[in-house]
Amino acid sequence: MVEAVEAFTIVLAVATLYGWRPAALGAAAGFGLLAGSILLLGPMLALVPIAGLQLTIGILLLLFGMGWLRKASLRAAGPIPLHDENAVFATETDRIGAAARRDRRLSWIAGLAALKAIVLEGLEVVFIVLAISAGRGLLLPAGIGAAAACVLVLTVGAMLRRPLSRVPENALKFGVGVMLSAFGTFWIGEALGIAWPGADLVLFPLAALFLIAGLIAAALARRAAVEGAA
Amino acid sequence: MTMLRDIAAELIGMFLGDRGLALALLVVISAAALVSGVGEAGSVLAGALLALGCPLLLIENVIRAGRRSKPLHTRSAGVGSASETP
Repeated sequence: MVEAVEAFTIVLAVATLYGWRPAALGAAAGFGLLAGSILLLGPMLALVPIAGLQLTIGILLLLFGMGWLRKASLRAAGPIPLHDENAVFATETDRIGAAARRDRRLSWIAGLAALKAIVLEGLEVVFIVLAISAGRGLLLPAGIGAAAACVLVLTVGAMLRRPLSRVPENALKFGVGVMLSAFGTFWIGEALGIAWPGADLVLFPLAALFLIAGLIAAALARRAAVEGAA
Repeated sequence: MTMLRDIAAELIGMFLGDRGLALALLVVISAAALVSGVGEAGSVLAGALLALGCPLLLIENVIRAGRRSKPLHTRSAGVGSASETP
């Protein structure tokens, strides 16, 4: 959902300058590319031996989840500015508007900008869908869940016709970072043959550990930043 | 070509956004893999390394990043309190 909000902001900038047709066409093409990559890669992952798959996906999930958690903690603490959809919209409108002033007919470039936004923001969604569903036969429900979130965001956004700046992006990213980090740690442990106490249920204490670590990190980073500035 | 370059950069950034943190995580994972093969105690130690080592790395990394930068605003800290609306 977070990525859909960010992609929508750019699609909206395109639609504002060039109309909804190129924006919608570019966005639809982007969705097609992402869906195609999921449909192509999902079944291929099922052919990989489960231990190797768990280790690889686990490491990637941990790196990705910790990256989100780190950034969300720093945004909550202050050193990194919060993602401001209104500011992104203004910047993108200026950037695309400069091209529009040069040539009003370049609507295909506008469509390409929408496609690029969807593909770049959607890469993370594709990774999460593939990683969560890999080796467990969950590709369809994971894909439907992601698609539903995207459709919801785009529908609400198209109705409002303004950036979805009220969505608490940082809190969402923080939560997703916690979950992905816990999943990644669990899967790495499974691949290494660690007998987690409580089996799958250990995901809850693992998530709690990452949540607490993120909150402590944000509080201490804020204090460190204030002391550094003093 | 620009788009392919952007996609490659996005993919690298997804996993190696902070290279120091990524490297430290890989060291912890490698250490866990090494000790996991040393009997039952090794398995427990590997689990503890992963479960405690990764969150501790996060705290250390975020504090270090906080020290390097100045606060952009003076609102109270809190993930949920962060409001993106102007």
